Amino acid sequence: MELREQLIKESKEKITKAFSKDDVYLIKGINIIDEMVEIYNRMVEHCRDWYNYYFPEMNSYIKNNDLFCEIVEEICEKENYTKENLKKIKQLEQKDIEALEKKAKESIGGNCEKEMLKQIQEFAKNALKIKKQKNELQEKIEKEIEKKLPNFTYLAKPNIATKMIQEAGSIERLAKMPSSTIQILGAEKALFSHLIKGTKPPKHGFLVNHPLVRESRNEKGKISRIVAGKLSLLVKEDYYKIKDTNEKEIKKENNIESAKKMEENIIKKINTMKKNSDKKEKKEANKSIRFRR
Amino acid sequence: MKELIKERGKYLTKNLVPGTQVYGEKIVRMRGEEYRQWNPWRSKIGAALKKGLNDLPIKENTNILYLGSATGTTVSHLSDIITKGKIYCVEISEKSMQKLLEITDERKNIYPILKSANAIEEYSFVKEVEIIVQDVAQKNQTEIFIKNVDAYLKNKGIGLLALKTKSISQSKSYNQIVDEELSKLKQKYKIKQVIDLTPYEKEHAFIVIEKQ
Repeated sequence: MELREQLIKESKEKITKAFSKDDVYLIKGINIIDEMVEIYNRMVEHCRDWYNYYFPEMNSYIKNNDLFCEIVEEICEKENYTKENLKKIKQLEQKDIEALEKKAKESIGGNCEKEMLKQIQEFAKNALKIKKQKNELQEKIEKEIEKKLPNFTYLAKPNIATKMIQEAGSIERLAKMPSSTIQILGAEKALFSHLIKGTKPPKHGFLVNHPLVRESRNEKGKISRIVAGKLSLLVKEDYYKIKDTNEKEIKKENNIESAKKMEENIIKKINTMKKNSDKKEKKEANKSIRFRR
Repeated sequence: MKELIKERGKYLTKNLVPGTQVYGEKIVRMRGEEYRQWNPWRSKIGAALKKGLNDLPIKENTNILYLGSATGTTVSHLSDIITKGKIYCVEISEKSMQKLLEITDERKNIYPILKSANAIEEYSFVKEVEIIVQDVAQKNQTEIFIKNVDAYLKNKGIGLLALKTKSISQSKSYNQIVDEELSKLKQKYKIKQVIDLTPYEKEHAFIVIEKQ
């Protein structure tokens, strides 16, 4: 075959193979989730502004965004704000139903042509659809991550695990990272400011929200370092196991024994650190008392 | 040469596939032919031309090795010019190569190579070329350039290196990085021109070398 045709054929086959890895779809999904939240928030803001001309009192009374959109979608016109109709909406308590019914009768909002009101209703409906898909997508992604990296997700918690995979760019890249990088994933601004300007280096990035790190007062840096160290081991165990073994074998054993063991060890370490620091504090306190005498 | 002309400060290349556009560039009909405007904000060679690139010894039958062809913005203009030559495009990303393949069907002088520019043995079927262009964002971009120039550039051939200084170091200054990389190249080749691509690209230098 002529060289050019062969090169084109080879490239096409490689592209199809690369586009078949579920990694790429997963990472793109993660990238979209934050944006979907922003889009939903902006749509709700617009919807509230729009509906405000028609029924301002409802806009002020209902603070919850999801609830607001649901009411606009289900009820919409002021004449429909009756006890019967409002009961269909589960989150509304009795006092809310009575308040809304009264406010609808006494509303100082203007009239609105039916066709336009329908547009506002569609808009609220679409906003809720986006929120619903965002939740479904997030669930699906967390399930996928737990399936692919069971140990890593168990120790890092799904929220932080998702963010770390997004920041790393791909699961393969995350598996190749040293523990120091995993420790500060998410704190890039502080890191480069430290490298270029010489400010203090960051202690933790996404790990700042980890339950073990949050609990401690003075030892956040130490604990992030310990957790990051274990995480880098777990992600390698998870990732390279998938590469070498059969997919069927993984589905059987979703075992997180290593992660559980490591979590126990970390908690033990944290407790001994606490004891030692308490002892230190007591010593310091006694010293100062003696000095005062 | 009517394949590359300059009109009112803008560079134009004669469209190899009339009636098509590659990246949203402006189409100009002139002297009875269709030309594509070379956008200096999208293409590094386009920017270098605007900032006074002297030697672009491209003729109809020049062969080019382009490392880091991405989605083919610059490649398309070079392909317009070398109507009887070949341009070997090395690109590591499948996503970018997929876009490049969309223009490859109609441009018979593009040879796509989905490999890393660092693995020079994997495209050793490339015959010696007259020009090598490199635009990859890697920390060791100069070393990659030297490897390829030594292996595939003919003697007296021209090498064009788009140096992205931020890929090499974030803490050193632009001038410091350019000096360091130039000293690596000076040992082996003759430096013909060094261009700062501001304002079209930030912190990018465009280096022209000649292989002895």
